[in-house]
Amino acid sequence: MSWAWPEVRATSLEAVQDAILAHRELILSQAPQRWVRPPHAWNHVAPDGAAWLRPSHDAFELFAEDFIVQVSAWLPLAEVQARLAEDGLTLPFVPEFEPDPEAMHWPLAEWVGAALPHGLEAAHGSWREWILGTTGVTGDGVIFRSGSRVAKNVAGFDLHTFLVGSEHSFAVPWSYTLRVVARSAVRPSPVEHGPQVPEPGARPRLQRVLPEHWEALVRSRGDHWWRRDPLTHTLCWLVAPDVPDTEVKSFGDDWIYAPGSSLLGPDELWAMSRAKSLFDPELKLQPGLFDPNNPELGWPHTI
Amino acid sequence: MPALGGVVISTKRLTRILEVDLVNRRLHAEAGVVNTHLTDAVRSAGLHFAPDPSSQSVATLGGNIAENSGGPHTLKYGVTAPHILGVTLVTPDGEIRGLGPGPRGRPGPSFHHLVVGSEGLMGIVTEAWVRLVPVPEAVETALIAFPTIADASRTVSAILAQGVVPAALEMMDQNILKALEAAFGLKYPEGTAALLLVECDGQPDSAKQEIVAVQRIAEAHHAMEVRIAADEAERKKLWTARKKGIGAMGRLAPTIVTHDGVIPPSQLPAMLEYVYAVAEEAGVGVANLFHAGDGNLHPCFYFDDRDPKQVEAVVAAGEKIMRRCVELGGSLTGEHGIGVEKLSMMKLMFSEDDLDVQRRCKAIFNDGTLCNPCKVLPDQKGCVEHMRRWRGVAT
Repeated sequence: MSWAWPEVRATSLEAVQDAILAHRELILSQAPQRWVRPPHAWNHVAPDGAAWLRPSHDAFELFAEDFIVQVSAWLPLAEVQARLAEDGLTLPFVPEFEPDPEAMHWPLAEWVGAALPHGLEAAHGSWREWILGTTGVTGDGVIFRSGSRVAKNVAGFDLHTFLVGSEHSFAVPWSYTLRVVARSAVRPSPVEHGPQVPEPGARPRLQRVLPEHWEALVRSRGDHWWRRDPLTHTLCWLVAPDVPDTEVKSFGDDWIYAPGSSLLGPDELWAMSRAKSLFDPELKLQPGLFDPNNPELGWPHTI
Repeated sequence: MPALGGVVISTKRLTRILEVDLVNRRLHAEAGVVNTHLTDAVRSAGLHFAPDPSSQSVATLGGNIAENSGGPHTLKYGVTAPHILGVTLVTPDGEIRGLGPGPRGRPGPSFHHLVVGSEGLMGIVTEAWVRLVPVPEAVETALIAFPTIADASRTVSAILAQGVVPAALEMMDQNILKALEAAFGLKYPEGTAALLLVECDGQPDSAKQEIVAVQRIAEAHHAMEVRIAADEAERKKLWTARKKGIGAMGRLAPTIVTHDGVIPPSQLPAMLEYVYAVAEEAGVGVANLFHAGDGNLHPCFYFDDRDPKQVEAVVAAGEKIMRRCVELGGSLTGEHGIGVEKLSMMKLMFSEDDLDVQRRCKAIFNDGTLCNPCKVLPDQKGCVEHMRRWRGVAT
């Protein structure tokens, strides 16, 4: 099933919002389930009947003097970086943990939605620290804006920060307002690279531990393809096709980005159920990632 | 100010530091611990808790979390949110909920980030895990005098455009300098219209290089004088203008009211002109002392609150300034919060649908009116009287 999103070639965020409002009924009448992660990411499979939702618009508004960009959530990262570079600016982001050579061409929404770590995080922070605002649509079709166009803002709740990493479980993003930096201010990545040839069929897995477990984590991973950041204590490695995820060693207080390894604690799973019922009461967004009737299955339930 | 017959639950006696985890650079503390006591507990290990609101010697961790507090060093280190790794929250149904902690930057919805800055509407934070960061090896501080506000503002933009991110980038206007001179006898170069306080930190070489770059940029923008602190004692002296500015304003009038709004930094010159014009029209004095690097204005009106007309004029002037902040793409508040004072102005920034989604955020933890009703979200049931009462207190 494909998503019949009309082609909107907007040149400003106002135009994007107008387009959303103009097509609101269409948005609400579309497929009963919406799935926004593109198929190349992390080998996941969309459920039967789910529609791929990748709205098309290419809004890009740069406020260079203020180091702010307002941009379509669905522009590829490479395109955003190229357009920022024309003004000597950049998002301080290098996708060094991602083995897919096409990763730079993934849309921003995918990076933000997964809050994936990156090679400049220790020096420049993560998406949660750069995102100043977002526009989007909740699971039940409410079009909203959160945040503002300035770096410091405490008006209302930080919904835009909360949504980073939520895999679009509560809302589909349309645009992001982000801090950018001068290219000259970017410090080099500390990420170390291991063997460069991935084993066919191997699956990427990301793990971050507390500093006290770093050496043990590094020792536990052998000589397969890996990349690691000793400053954020993050390791990405490829799991051989015949090794189940259940054999991935956990260190306590760490997180592992892998199917079935719930990233949320029991109280957060309770909050997840509450949030899902409020933002996506008919469970239209990201079916399969979380079951509010069985929160003990964890989040993400599948990747 | 409790609404709807509410009670105040104070966490001031929750003053224990529960665990200091130096290896993992984090600390677990109760909500009533004073901000500076967090740093005191780990200073000997070369670490500190970075958020430093001006009230840090009395402000508590719980208060910092509720307001997502800022401070002069947020330009480089961020506000409170990125320094909180997890919280323990008592929700209105009496449940104790643990949100986090874990290693930073975890994928997944970040519920504790929703609680930080929620002004007590989601429940009561009783404990938190905070992140500790190394005390910078070197600090270089400069106090720079300019003949015009515009020159100082352009210097701010130019510093950031050069890729320099100072730890602090603060501005003070002529009226603050007058107050400082009256209160403490501090002298600045004749004809100074604005002062910039710039602090760069990090490795000794890089901090030095950055302050030299700042000096060069300032001189290219007509700086009249650049004083660079030679040692810690001189650094403290240079900070006097910033730290004592608000207190010194007591010399100018019996009452001061400090506002808090944010604009894109490129709009600083135009905005400051607007602030002066609004104050003149209102017939009250205004001085500006603020976080220039992130466009966080603090216009301070000075007046006599024994005169009801002046009070009315100050309230109206403040609302005009907030309205202009929003028109310029900014925010109603950068660090002081919405509370009840700016409740009705939330509609300047957000549509009904935006606010509906904000209400859903609150309802995750609090779907009733038990925790801090009549704050942040406008049009809550039964709050009209509370708003009137606030106006009564204000006047």
